[in-house]
Amino acid sequence: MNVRMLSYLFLLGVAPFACKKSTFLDARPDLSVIVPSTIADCQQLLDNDLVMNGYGNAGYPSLGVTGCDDYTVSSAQYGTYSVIDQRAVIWANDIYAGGEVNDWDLPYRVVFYANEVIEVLSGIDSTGSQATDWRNAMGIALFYRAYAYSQLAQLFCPAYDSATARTDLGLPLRLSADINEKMHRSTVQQTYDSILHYSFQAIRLLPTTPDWYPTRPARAATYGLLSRVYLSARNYPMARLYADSCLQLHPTLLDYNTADTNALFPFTRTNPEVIFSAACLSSGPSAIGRSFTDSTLFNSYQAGDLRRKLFFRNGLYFFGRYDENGYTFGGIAADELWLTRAECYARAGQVDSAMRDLNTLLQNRWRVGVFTPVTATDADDALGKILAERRKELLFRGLRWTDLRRLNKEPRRALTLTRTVNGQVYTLLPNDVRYVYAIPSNVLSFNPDMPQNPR
Amino acid sequence: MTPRMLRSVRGVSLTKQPWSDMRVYLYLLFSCCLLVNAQEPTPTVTLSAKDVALNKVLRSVTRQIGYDLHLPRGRNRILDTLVTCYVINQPLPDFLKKILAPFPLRDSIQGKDIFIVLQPLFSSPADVLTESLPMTLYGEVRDDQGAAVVNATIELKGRNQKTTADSAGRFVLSKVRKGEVVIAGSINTGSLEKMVEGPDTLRFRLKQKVNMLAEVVVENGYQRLNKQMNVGSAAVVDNFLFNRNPSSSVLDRIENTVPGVLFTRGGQGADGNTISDLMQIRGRSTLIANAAPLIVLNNFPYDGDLRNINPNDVDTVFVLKDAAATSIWGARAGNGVIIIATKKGKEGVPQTIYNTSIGIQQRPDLFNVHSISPTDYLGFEQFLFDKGYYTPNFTDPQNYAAVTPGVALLYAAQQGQLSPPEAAAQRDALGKTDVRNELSKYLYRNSVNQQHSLQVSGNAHLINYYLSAGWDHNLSSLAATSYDRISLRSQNSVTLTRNLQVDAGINFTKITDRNGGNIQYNYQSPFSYKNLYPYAQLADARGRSLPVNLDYNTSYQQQTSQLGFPSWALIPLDELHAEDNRITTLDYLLTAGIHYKILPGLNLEFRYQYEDQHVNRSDFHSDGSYFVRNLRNSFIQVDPVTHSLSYPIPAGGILDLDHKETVSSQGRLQLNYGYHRGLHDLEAIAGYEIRDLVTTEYTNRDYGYNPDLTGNTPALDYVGNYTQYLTYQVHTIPHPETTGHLTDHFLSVYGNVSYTHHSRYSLFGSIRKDEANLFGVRTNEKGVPLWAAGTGWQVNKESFYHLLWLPSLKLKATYGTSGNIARLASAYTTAVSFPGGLSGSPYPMLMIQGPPNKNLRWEQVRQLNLGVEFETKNKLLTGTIEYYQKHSIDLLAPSETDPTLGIVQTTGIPGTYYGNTASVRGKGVDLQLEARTYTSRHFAWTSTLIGSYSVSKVERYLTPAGMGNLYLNQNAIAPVPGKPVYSVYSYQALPLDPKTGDPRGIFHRQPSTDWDSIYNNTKLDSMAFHGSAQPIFFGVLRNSFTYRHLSLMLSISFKLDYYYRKPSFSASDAAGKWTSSSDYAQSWKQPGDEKRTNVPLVVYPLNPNRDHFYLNSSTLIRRSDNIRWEDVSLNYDLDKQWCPRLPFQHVRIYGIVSNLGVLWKAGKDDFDPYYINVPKDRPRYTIGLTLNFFKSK
Repeated sequence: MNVRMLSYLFLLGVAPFACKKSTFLDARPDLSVIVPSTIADCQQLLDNDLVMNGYGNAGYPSLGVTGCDDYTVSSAQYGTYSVIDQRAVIWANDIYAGGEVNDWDLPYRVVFYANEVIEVLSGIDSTGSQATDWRNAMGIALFYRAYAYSQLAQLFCPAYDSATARTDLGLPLRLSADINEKMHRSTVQQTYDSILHYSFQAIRLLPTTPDWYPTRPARAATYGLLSRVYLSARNYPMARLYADSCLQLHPTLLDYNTADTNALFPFTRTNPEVIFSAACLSSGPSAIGRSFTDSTLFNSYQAGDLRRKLFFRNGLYFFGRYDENGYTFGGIAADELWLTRAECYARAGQVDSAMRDLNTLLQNRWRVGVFTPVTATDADDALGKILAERRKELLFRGLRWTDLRRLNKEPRRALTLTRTVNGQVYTLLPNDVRYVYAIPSNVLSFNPDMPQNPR
Repeated sequence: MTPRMLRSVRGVSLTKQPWSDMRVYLYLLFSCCLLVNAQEPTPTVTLSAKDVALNKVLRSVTRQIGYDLHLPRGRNRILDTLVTCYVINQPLPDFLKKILAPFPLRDSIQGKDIFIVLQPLFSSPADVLTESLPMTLYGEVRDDQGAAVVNATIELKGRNQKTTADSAGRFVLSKVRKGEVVIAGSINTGSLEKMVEGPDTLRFRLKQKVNMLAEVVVENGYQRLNKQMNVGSAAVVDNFLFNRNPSSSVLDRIENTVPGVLFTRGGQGADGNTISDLMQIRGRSTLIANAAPLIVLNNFPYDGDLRNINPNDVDTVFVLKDAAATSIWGARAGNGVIIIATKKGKEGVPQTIYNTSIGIQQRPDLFNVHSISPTDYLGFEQFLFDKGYYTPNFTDPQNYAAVTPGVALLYAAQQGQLSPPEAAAQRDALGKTDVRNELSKYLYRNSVNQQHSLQVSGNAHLINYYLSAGWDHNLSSLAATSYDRISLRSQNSVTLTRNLQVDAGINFTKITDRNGGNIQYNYQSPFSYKNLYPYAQLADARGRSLPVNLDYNTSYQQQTSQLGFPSWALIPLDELHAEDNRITTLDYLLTAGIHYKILPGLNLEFRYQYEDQHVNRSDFHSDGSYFVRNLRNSFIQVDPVTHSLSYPIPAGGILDLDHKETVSSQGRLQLNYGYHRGLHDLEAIAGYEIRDLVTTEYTNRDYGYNPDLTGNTPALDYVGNYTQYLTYQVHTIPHPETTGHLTDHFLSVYGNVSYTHHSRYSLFGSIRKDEANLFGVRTNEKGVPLWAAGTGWQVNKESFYHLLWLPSLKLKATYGTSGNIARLASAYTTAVSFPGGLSGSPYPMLMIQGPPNKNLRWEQVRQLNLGVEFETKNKLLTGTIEYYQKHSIDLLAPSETDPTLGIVQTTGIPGTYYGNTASVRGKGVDLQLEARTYTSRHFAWTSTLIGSYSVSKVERYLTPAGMGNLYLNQNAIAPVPGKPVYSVYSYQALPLDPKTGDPRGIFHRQPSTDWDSIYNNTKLDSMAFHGSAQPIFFGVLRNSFTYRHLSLMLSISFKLDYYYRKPSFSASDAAGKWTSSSDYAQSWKQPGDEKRTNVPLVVYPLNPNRDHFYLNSSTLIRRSDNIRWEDVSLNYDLDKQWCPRLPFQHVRIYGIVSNLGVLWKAGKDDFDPYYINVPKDRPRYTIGLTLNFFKSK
């Protein structure tokens, strides 16, 4: 009797516990909060355009724009800048005021999201019916990690130089999403290798011409990124190869004759030229109305050039952003790749190919009937013309900073920048150490052993 | 030979198996040990022996005096009986007579030989003798705890012969015959009758009426431990004390009864920040996690609203404070545990108790809100008007902001619409109204609280039952606010077989909170942020309600009403009935338990509790309410050509519904083992527990709702944008619809062992492991079990102990860990979802909320507790003193991180995550003393002192200190290492500038009037730190006086060593919010004024940072220390035993006056620290009656 009673009691007692313990303890505490764990969750993390594409109050770095020679600034405009921007405008040695450096934080946030996705996807079966979704998400995540590092490398690492890349200090490369990870700086070579490695992986996974909104990067965007990275490393054959790959998939240019001249911003984020849409921080001179386009640059647009009217408002304010809301464009568009390929042809001595590419672009930029194709006498002439057009086409995208850094390596094309602020003239010599921004001070306070960039 | 000496044997213990030979502990303590009087032939004996076998005592005595002892032949268990005696210089014959008196033994001294002979129990010649002859009867009276009842009355029934027990509880009655009845009773105990059956000592055990300190068993929700075995710190609020305060709320009744428990009152500062930590046990032991103590109802954590529990059903409340007491609750016990034990059927015949009370409290004192007087405010408006502050209100056609009637008059006079004398006269008339009078008259009332409760309980033939019904009806001091509670409870247990007991309980509660549109003293328009101006008039002389303009000026109202807009006027008194806000709480609690005796001492127990609580909030805004008219009006679309109106929001009321359901299931399987034999007392439990708590919530709004004709609600356009007529802003129709779903899962394994050796040495050990769905597997795999250990030592039982004045002394020490739960952090990445299209891309997206933290741990609270419990002789002074140290480690706190980790949430703001990065150290002393100050035959005076010292300081906090202005809210936690968790900071201030009347601060170590810089750039280390915002010392002194059946209790509480910020006048507030402090009258006007005042000159243009500096400067920090008279209560008891004609068995009539006010305070200002600038509660008068219908014996 006792034993039977006991066993009944025991059964009664055990019944509630009989459900699987792990299931019970894995119940989501709050249904409005998700622990990302599925491919769909990962895709939604990657689709967070506020973080990954820099919309809202965010964006990819703008210190490149701030440091370059696309603009001039009046005293009044200068007064409205943040301390960091004010100091960066005059190429001060110490530009940080001790606070947060968005140019560092926000790309690393992209890396964090990408790492999170990569970690989750690594634990999910990549075959079967969800193989495509898995490959897409993994490819996009890898692209973003590479893209964020490529943006950071232009600010915080010396320009790639094959002679010193193995000793030059690169970025701290995050390997996981865990917050207990300890940071240390890689070399420039490791940084570039990582960017290339992730991009190659992404290319193998991403579809060629998906019907995606341009905030999602596809294979063409990855080719574009590879071309840009090789160009910054002055590896022109590879830059041409991937510019070509990109243009094979996405050659479309926007005919500026069709642009809406009445709209405040004549170009949209989804215009056919955009391969991958993203925004830079609208900070300092990048923000609308906070700087004037450099007058020499402005005067270089000739009369029939539609850009003269479409890009500029109220004189020298730059409105030619590929964004209907006025975000500073920080993505990849076909015009950049046409110019890259043209430059690489010219550097390879293929003048005809170079000029054909350049004219393909320019005929979409000039008023119909007015445009006469540009010709070049030799490769060097072609290169000069292409670089001049590159300057006129890709302003306020942060790309000028990268171009300055790589062209400084060529003594003939090296430039000394000057800027007048509040009546005082500041100068930045070619290959100045100030072409490499310092690691933010709070990063060093968390990592006391991390070496700082010389300024 | 006095009778007194004869009676000096006491404490013969017939407890557990005294015949076991093993125990010879102890001891004869011969203080000058045993003295033999040299003078023959009668030697005297001096001896102190406690719990020593009788034969040992006799042997020792005879050996010491050189006599020979002859005991009865054979083994006799009587001689192994443990006895206790203290005698000094007693003649040997007396000693022997006395010590043998309780036993069937007699002595015979022949020369130096003592013969002890066994006496037959019956039909001895002595017996025959006592039957026929009157004898002298000795007796003793003890309470149910074994302590002597001093001054007990002993009476021979039917004869007018009475006596009183002495200080040892002993008495003598002479000329008593066998068969007569003796009644013993006292003021603190019940009474008892006993028939005289022979010459043996008559022993009475009387039940204590008022339970003395910590003498009861301790419950922890899993088991009951007697006092001796308990080594933890657990305070008991017994039923008498609990019922002293007739509040409807259980927690209110615990206030001022337990040391170490702090109720925060009046934390609302000048800044209007609300209080935090309503109740705290031994200081705050966490930063961001849930800081409330765990509330356990009988056996399981209570997940519903505590208001659901009817205090009339509560028997005893236990407050568990240290690690040993709380450890059994593991990860949820870090803030202490409160066990609420409900009533159960008692042994004996059925009882029916009816209890009712009514409490009345005068409407609160609104003049305790020190606001600027109407005339002063009119003067201030004149000042602003002259400076041109109001010019935009009259000249800017887009400025629709309302102005006060006073300003309107000034403008009318300026425009020549009124003659200056007439305007002045009208303004004077305005100044005669004080809005506080108006509010008090029309919107506040005297509050009335009624309570009714009926209980039937009993224990009859294997069935124990308790049934109760209660109704509470409280009309609160706000005119349209009330609270009703209906509660039904049934708690029964049935013994099915010898080994099996089943119990089941049902509890149902319904609470209805009603609240109309009751504008309060601090009403602020949610649209314009204007308060009621000081001279606002709410009704005219005939009591008809008047409009008050806070949002839109009259010209705008006229303009819109010409277009056909419904009225835009705010009429505060009409709002009272235009809004009908109710919260209905329904709570069903079902419990079931099976208790099975497997073997003697070994039980298996299964318990289950299911609770379902629905909280339905229904806010009905009628079509006449300001809320509806304002919302509807602001969306009205005016056709630019025809001026015809269209109404995007339909006519009718608006109904806001919120439904929240909490369902919890908890199950427990537990083995109990008890072993009480010989010297060993062992109690052990082990069990397994599961808990599932699901909370769902949804919110909905119906437009065009008609309470008399429900049905389909009109379809509205929630997507379209509407340009508002007033502001030109574009809005969609607000459509608050949310859903929520929270799940709490817990699995726990626990066990503990209590062992006491020889009633002296106690050991305790406890361990528990919790797993939850909150933290993720990684943490749980680490599996840090929470444990506690403790030891106790009943010193007075030791042989060497001989402090007669301190018969009970116990030392105890415990150490262990418990935990706290925080839901903010996760070992995994957490994300929240957003719909697509927010910024262009059509895809839905996830935003990461918290980064993954693989090292996340549970918060742990380590606590050391050292305690002393003592009783002086006859319980003249009983007390417990405990010292504790709390170390809360691994506290979750927002921690800044390396930006490279990428967890920044908002551009430009450092990324933080919740990590185990902070720690808090607390320490304190809990003291509880109870003194029988004076006792006589009919009168008793008992004093109880409950005192606490408690400090919790932040030990570690990684986030660097921010600017000083972040530390000005003393009710918010802004941790600073080395400082109390709640700290009072201010800007360092110098006296007013004697030339300009400006407040002066210190910036960069220089006197400064650069208030912008002081506000923006004062670092924390340049701020003045004053101290804690919570009292460091607090407690209560309670005095009880009992005369016959009447008792009076007085409580005086004290709270010391803490600070508050005195509110003062701010011109920018007075201009912007239409009210500020009465300190305006004291403001600096001319040089020399700085000697009498700290209130700066009122300046124009308004300077908010100057005001901010002054309001938060060190000039305004005051000590909060106060001593207050909490309450006085009176009880009168009538019992059928005393008044045979009483139609009830027992009647108690009681009355209490609570909240009597401040007796002393440190601050010189006119601020009661409990009510800083809020309406002050007046004393509450409650009277009540408890009727006990049936004979309870």
